[in-house]
Amino acid sequence: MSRSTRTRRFFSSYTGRMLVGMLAIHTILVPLVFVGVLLILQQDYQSQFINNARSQSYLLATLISEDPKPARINSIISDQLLAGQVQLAEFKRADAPPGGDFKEDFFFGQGGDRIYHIIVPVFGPDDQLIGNLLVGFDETPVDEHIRQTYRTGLLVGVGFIFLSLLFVFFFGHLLTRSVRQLRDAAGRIANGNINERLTLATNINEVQDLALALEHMRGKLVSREREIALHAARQSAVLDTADEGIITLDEHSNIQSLNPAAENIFGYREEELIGTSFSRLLIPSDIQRFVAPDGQPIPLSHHELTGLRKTGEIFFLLLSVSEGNVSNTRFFTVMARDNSERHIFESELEYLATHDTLTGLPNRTLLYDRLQQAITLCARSKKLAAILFIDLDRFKTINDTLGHSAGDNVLKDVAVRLRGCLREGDSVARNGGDEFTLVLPMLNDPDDAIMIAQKVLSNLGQSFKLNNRDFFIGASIGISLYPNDGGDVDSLLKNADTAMYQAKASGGNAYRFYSA
Amino acid sequence: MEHGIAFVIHKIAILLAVYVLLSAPMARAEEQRIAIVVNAESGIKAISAKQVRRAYLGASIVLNGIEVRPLLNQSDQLAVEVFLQRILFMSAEAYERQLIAHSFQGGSRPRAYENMTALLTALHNDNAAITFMLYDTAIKTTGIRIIGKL
Repeated sequence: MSRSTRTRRFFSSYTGRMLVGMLAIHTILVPLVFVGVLLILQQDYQSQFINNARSQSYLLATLISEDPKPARINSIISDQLLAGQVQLAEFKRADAPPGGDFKEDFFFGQGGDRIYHIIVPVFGPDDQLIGNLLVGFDETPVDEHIRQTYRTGLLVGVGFIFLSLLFVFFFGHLLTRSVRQLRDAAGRIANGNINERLTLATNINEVQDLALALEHMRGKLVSREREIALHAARQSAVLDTADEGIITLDEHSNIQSLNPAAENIFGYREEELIGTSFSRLLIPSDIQRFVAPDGQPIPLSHHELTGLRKTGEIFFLLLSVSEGNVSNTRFFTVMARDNSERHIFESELEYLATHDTLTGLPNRTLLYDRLQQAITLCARSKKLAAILFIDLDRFKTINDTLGHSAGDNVLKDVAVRLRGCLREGDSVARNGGDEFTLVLPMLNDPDDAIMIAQKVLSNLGQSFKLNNRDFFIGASIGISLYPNDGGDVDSLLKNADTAMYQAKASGGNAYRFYSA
Repeated sequence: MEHGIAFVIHKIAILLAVYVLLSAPMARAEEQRIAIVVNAESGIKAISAKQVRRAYLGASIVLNGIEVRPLLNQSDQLAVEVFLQRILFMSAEAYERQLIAHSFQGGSRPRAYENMTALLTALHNDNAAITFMLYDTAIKTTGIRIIGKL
């Protein structure tokens, strides 16, 4: 700390101000008092001098008036001059011309010649004026005495001021010690030692009260800080454990904070994202759905955008954006969720709803859909569509003798073999049990269906290896044609089913066209 | 205490007045003479310097069958100083002390007047009253008679 800073601090302190105040008071009052006292003393000295001069002149005049012979008068005057009691003395008879240069004084210092002149009338025994005694008294000793008194007074005054300042400095320092202790304690609290109890040993009531008030305030602060810490810990725990990514943005879409879930979703560490634009977490084509032209985020509610991870991977990102305001500062909270799993789940559900879980073939639901599409396509192109209803022969025997597991393996193998029989654009579905359906659209001729049916019979007529043994099954196939055997899905399926029973009734391992 | 402060202030005021007088270009008084005056109807004919002195120091003076009542003229500071120097031969403070001592001994002190009009009124109302003023002033003042020039 520089000297000027220390000086400034000192004069800003209580002691410094007391010192300056006392100096100001003394500078005004002490000279006033001393000057007043000195003036009174000076007047007393002068008054005493004048009184002495006047009474002495009177005594001389009285002495002269008793025997006013010239020789005696001269002797008296000569004695006075020799004794140094008067500076000059002269007796002028009443008939002599008046004073000449001798000018009488009535106030001390009058005339400025440092001699106090007095003219005393001298009366004879019959009260007749016989002359005037002119006497001059030296004012210098009184002047010297007055000057000496002034000098002493000045020294005493300066000493008084100096001692007063010394006392003020000492007592000021003493008085402010408790205040300084209080300041130091407050400083320690401000520096984080908030749990340090504020105690002060002083008998100054005001400071004691202040210390008590500060201690009370510290207690409140401690309590409040604990509450805030607890609240912050709860909030932090919520943010840290939330499944959703929670990101705060400023009004320019720059990231201010994010929770661990957000780090996991986007694959960045917090420090990599703070201060950067949220746009970097979206694919370019989705940025304008999130950021307005003026750069601030657009409030959204459960909008799905395409997110971009640090690895470059894109994913379904479900976003909600809300606006907030704290201390007149706007900010935006982004709730982000990786929606990819939901999409996968939905796809799986859809797959499960439309496919046979054992064979992976479309199920009856999807079969209806494919068949409807085939009807629509063939109606538009004026072509034929064939529905081959397949029921396995002797499958029940395998199921009963080798168990359901073996049966399932046979069904899976059948599915593979049926797929191998199809053209591009054909469909195969498992209806349930050991029943399958082939949909063959865009046929020019019913013989095309026969060709496929024979291929199916050929493939399914080959052996199935189960437990290292060969088993043979076959298939009965019923065929219905669009538009010959029906114009809708249900009738075509029903007619194919009927044809299949006819094939089964003929001994199996054969195909039959529906005939009304 | 209050009396003490008032006394100090009074002293300082007097001193300031004296300083004002001294600081002015001080032409030394030219043969200042004091006139002892009574009202024009007063029976007092004449008075000597010694009688004036005694009267103002508290002694009983009877002139022409009238006991003289001295009045202090404090309206003119110069007149007071000339009077004190020429007649009483003492300073103002010594005279004040003398009067106080006389008062304690049962005597009375001359009534003092700070205002010339009030002094003249008192003089006119009392045929036994005497007072003093500068001779130059006395000869210009009507309704009074000079009974001594000192």
